[in-house]
Amino acid sequence: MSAPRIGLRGIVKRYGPIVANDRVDLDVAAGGIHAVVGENGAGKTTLMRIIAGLVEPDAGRYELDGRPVRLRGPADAIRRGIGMVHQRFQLVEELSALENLVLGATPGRLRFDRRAARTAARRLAEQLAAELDWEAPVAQLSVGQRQRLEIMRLLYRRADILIFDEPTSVLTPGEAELLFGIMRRLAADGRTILFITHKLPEVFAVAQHVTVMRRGRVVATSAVADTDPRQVGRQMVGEDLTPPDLRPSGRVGRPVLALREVSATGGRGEPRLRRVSFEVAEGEIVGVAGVEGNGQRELVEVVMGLRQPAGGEILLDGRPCGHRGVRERRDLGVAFISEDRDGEGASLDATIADNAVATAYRRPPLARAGLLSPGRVRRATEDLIRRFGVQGGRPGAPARVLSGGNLQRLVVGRELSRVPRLLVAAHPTRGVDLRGTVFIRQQLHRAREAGAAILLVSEEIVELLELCDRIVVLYRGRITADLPVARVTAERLGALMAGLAA
Amino acid sequence: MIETAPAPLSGGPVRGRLPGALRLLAPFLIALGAGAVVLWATGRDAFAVYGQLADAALGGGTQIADTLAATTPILFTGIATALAFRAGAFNVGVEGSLYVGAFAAAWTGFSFPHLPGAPLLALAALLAALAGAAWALLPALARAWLDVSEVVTTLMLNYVAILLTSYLVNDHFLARGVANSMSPMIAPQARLPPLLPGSQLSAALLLGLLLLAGYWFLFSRSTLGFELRLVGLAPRLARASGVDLRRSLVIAMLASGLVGGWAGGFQVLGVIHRFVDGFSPGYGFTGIAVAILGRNHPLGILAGALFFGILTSGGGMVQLVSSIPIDLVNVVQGTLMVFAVADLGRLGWLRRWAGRA
Ligand SMILES: Nc1ncnc2c1ncn2[C@@H]1O[C@H](COP(=O)(O)OP(=O)(O)O)[C@@H](O)[C@H]1O
Ligand SMILES: [Mg+2]
Repeated sequence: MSAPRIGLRGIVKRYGPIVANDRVDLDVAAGGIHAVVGENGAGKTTLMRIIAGLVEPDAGRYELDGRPVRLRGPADAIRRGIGMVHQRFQLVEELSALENLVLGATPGRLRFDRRAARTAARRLAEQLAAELDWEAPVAQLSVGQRQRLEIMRLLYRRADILIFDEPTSVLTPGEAELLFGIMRRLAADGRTILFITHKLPEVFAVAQHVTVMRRGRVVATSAVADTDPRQVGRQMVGEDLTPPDLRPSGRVGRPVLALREVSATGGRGEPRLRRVSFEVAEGEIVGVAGVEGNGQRELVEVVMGLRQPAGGEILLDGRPCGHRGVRERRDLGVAFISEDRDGEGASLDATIADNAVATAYRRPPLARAGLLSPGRVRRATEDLIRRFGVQGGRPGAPARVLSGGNLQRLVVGRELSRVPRLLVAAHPTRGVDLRGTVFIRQQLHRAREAGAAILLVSEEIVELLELCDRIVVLYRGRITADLPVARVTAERLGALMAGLAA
Repeated sequence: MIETAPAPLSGGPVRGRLPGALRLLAPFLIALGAGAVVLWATGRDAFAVYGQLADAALGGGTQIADTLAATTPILFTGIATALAFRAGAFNVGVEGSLYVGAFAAAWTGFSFPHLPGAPLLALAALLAALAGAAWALLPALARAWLDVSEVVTTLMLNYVAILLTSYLVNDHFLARGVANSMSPMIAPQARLPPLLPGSQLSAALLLGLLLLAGYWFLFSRSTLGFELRLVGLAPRLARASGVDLRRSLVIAMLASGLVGGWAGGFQVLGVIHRFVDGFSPGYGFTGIAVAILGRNHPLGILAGALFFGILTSGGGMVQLVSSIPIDLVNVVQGTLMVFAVADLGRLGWLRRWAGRA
């Protein structure tokens, strides 16, 4: 048998007392998709950064095609054909897509040879079957487009080992499918792809091999054909993770939120919500199903008071509140888990404590008469960290040190530390690891059983069917179905979300 | 928690993770190092020059008093600037607030000579504050409601303030019998008491320190300060949490202008005792450097104000007693300023070095 494209032998990487990678062995065959799975903190990113030359291991051997190498930084790695698409993109927002493509390896001697760059860009886009407006500044591109640009950047630098660190955590299911198409195409061209994910269905959809990591170690590497999601899931968490029973008890009370013919418009006055009406009652989770971009964002903003409705009425506990601001609604007991985790939900620059109290800092016991008690803020944060299992940072550390899943636990904990009247939850488990997802769903369930009314916006059919009492389907700004969950199947829901008649 | 990481300029990401004290000190050290390079490059002995500078600024009671007197107005303008920066408002109009505040204080001081000292001082301080805040009002509203960059408006209004006060003093309130453009003296009872007789050091310094304590309190112990800081650091999170961004912005800008008004007002009441056309050598602009250098942190602001206070008072003396031409002193001061405001936390090697140290 020929040597593997990448071979790792006994790789060790420590961060202080933490062993991020503990004697890791890994063989990656040339030409194919190799998935790496594991919970948050398992050491996946660290291992990938070692392969990409961004981190130097403390011990161990690193071989390419059977020959030991020692990478001197990412530039050295890319010269050897190894490139990485990071969880947080590394593009210059102000520059155009084309300029970003060639940044660092610009064609032309003194002057930027725009024509050569354009030719290369066209060829790459063709190769990936991906359209892109090359002259637009990156700031105007969607997340999916940015990611494709990152991929093309690596191909432009002639990378033939591409590492994707949780690429789907920022994508909608539609965009993820597109990415999988690209990955398959690259693999078919003989490139080697390392693919990190939390989601087991994705592994079984695209990969040929899967390596499971847990607490810094490689637990198993198998051919996808020889294993199944249940086994991999067990290897990831080290035990059988029986999904908890989240079925509603069905004790539904008075309506808390009522929308009557609510309309909203987008930035250029185009309609985004058209006469939307439905209700959410105490002790009830109402799911809003739909493919991203069908008005979910506008719906959430209108309910939260972040956007003025163009028409219609919004009632909270029977009182009209369309004119009220966010603070007034929050004071009425509205809580909010934003889909935009590091922007609206939390701030990576602020400390964990700041994030933990960002909505409660005005209330006792944290504050009295406008005075804030730092001691109480710290204790409240520690309490939240404990109760909601946030791992990886002390209250004073910037939230940046937390993984996405743990940051979301912090946000969920902040919003659910008291049982709200109404919780608006938008994609609460997107990009969160298995255990975190189960935990967050459990929290939503618990809040419902404690009497909260919950509006859950999600694209994940499994999540909707598992949690909701009722599901409304949002398609092109309209409610096209409003059904009790018992009358919905996954196929029917999928069809409704796609706009096919029920 | 609240006072740990000083918010960076206009709420951009905190890049550096130098340990606390060193993070505050590093810019000063680097600035001195860069100044030394300039001095050596022109064939001077940097250590000797710095020695002379330190001696001139701190070598005795009078010198220290003069340095502290030079520190006072930039302590005020530093606080004023940092107030806005923390909330994400780039107010570069403190100089303008300073001028109108100074004029308001002077006008009060010479217009009501029959009032007793305490009420007269209080009135002067009040009007200086109002004038300074009013000067920031328009840019604040324009930014909050029309999304007009406050950088441009506040910068322009600086010149309006300088010209307006110049017009007022020259055409309406010129003191009789003096050649220069200055207002009448304020009533003697309106003067802030000197801290050291024979020097320019007045009780304004104590007021500045009190204000600094208030600044610390605001941002580490009050919900209003938490809100302002959140707006500066994470506006979208703040908005989704229920903070009114416009209100916060206006509050921060007005507070900044208010303190800027005091900067000028107390300079009049404590030191010059009248309004003098164009009296400020750029206190408001130095305040920007102080806020950046001090990373908006209370102790950092104090250190920054002292740093520039020493440079000003020491620099003046060095010119007089050594053979160093004034231009070189200015170049060194400029170099120090540039390096002082550079965000050195971005330099990876510095971070690593600091991590080891
Ligand atoms: N730069 C770093 N400094 C300190 N600790 C780190 C650093 N990078 C990763 N770690 C720690 O190493 C462990 C593995 O992290 P990571 O490789 O990011 O895991 P994963 O990508 O599987 O979530 C975690 O406990 C994490 O906190
Ligand atoms: Mg990771």
